[in-house]
Amino acid sequence: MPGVTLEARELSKWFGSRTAVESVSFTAHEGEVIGLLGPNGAGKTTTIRMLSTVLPPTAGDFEVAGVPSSRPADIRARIGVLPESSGYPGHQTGLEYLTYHARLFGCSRDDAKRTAVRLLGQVGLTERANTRIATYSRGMRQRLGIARALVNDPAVVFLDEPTLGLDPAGQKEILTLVRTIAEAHGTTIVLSTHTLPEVEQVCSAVLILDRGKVISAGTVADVTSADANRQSGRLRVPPGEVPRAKEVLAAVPGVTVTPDDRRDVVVLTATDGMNKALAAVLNAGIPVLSFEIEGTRLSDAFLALTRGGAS
Amino acid sequence: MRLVFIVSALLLVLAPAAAADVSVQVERNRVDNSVGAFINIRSTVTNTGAESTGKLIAHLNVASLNDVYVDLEDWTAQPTQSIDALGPGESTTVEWDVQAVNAGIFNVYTVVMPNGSGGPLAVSPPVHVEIAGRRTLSAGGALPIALIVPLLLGAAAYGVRRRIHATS
Amino acid sequence: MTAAAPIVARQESRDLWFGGRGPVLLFAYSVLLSVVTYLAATNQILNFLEQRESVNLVVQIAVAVGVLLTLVVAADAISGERERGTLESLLLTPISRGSIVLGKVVAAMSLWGAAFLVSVPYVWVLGRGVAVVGKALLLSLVIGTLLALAMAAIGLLISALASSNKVSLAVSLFLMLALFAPTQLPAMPTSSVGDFLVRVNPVTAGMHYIQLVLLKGHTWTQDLTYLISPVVAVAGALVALAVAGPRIVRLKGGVGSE
Ligand SMILES: Nc1ncnc2c1ncn2[C@@H]1O[C@H](COP(=O)(O)OP(=O)(O)OP(=O)(O)O)[C@@H](O)[C@H]1O
Ligand SMILES: [Mg+2]
Repeated sequence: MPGVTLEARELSKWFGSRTAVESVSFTAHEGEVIGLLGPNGAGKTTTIRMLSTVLPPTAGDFEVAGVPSSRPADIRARIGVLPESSGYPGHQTGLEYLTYHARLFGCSRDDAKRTAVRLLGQVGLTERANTRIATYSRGMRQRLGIARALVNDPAVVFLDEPTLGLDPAGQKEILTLVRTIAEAHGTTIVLSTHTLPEVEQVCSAVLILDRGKVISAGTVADVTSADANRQSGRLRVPPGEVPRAKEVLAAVPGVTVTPDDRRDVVVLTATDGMNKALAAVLNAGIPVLSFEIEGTRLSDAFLALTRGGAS
Repeated sequence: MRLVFIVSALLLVLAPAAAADVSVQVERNRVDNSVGAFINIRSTVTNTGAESTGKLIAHLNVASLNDVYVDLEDWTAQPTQSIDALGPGESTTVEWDVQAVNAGIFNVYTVVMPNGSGGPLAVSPPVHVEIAGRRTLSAGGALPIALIVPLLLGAAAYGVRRRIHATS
Repeated sequence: MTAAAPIVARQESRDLWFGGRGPVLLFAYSVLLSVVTYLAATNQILNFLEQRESVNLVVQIAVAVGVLLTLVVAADAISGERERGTLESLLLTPISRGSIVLGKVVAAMSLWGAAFLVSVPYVWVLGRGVAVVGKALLLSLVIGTLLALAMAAIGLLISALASSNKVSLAVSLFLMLALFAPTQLPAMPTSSVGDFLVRVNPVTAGMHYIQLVLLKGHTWTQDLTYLISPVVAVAGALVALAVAGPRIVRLKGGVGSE
């Protein structure tokens, strides 16, 4: 088992009488990518701010890279953070900005410059190194922010919604970057996001928060199987075959066909797996164009869990 | 008639022998300056007697030595200042900021007297003040500076802005 | 503890001067001094103003406006970064809050330094010939630096505490006006109450000291007591900043938030 790099114990934060985070505990290991999920206002940003020592917790403590929360400056020296909706000094160039931050992390002038050039290359901004940040696109700024989070070769990296507002290609680039960092350096990455497919792609574990509390934690498979016994599926068949497919499915025990009059899709739910339903359709000789099981997707688990929490 | 004489004699005897035992010194004895300048006159008043003085009045005066007209009100708005009673051996400083409104040669001196009737005066040595006529300033002197400095700074500010746009 | 302050100061000064804000403020400052100097010079020729009086006028305006600019830069330093979203990444570095504050004070003071240099030719051109230029510049440097340092520290405190940048700038400008307004009253220190008020307010006290030495021909040491309140203000503001700084330089401003 790789070493523990992050441990939060009963972290809580109140803003006046409003609870933002309540008794959050979790651990993360070297090389792990943890997805921090939760609806708006769940407390993701607040949790990241507490762990990155810019916001003092109301209660609880934590340890990052072996440093206890009582030594915030030492923690900051070992972590990298992309803050939520971070701003950038528009009149500085990307190179100046990264060099300055590397200097603040204790690099000598030459080292700082070398680090800045290397990171700009790593996030694909070499061509824009000497232009002002004001002229960068949103995705470029996001990448610059990630580069900034890496200037000190951190043991733990926190990324608060790194793909916010990026196009699919941009999102993919960032996720690839995240995975590379985790794999190459054994860095622990905590990634807060609303885009669930990206969590499935890169995260080895997830932590779902709702109203400040952890409502589910574990690997992606753990979290999705918690909801796996109520699967629903969407079966796509040629338009003329829909009535026959409905008939066949209705005969399978445990399968319910949702009544609707769509021309090419049958929506069904099954209480003990979809295999029998699919077998019955195939046995009847009906051509299957596509078959999608919804209960196994993280987004379904997420919706089910957070909706459950709300009721 | 007799009565009046007796009363005034009594008054003279009974009045504290204040000013008689007071000495007044000035800080410097010569000042050269030009018209319009302010001159700071500081006098030290010391009770050299064995008894406490009553309240005192210090008055500044300006005497012209070369028949130049002097209006004291123009030189200082407050020629007269009051001084609190001084115990034996005590001293205090009185100061005036006088503006030299005319060119010429003057003696400026301070008189200290009791704050009441009677009693002799104590006078400081005079400060010899020579005031030269105004230096006339050449009219064009300030204009080049007033134009060049903003022009240079404006060009610098413009240059910085240009440089910023050049890196975009 | 404040080892990183020079790095912060250097970058903050670069931002101020190469980001375009410093040069523009300085340009506006020189235009103002040009107008005042020109008017003073014309009045001098018309015998309305004595030469020392016009030097005194320009020195007082140069100090007042130079200090004002320093305060404006300081008042923007923390609340402005909060609003632009750049404060969090600064707080995320391992440097101490003290270094951040110190670096920002130094950067704000660089504006006063530049303003002083710009005022030199104006004082020179008005004071030529009466052996008053050196005295005027020394007074302006000493008093101006004291006042600018006090105001920079106070501006940073306000900026750290203010809930928004607008509030910070408004409070700072109000403070500046409140402190400077009494300098415009004629012949303030004639009564003992008036004199006390002049001495208590570091700005009026400093300005009055300049006037006494420059205009009234007093010696440097004669009225040193007028410098008590400026010195106390500098010391008090710097101590307050050093003590409170680490707690109030934080992500969110405003009283009562964390
Ligand atoms: N400075 C603050 N003062 C008062 N309340 C706050 C403050 N910051 C956050 N909160 C509250 O704390 C709760 C959690 O907010 P937080 O920003 O951590 O949520 P989040 O999970 O990051 O949401 P999002 O997905 O929208 O970014 C919210 O109810 C929010 O209103
Ligand atoms: Mg958030």
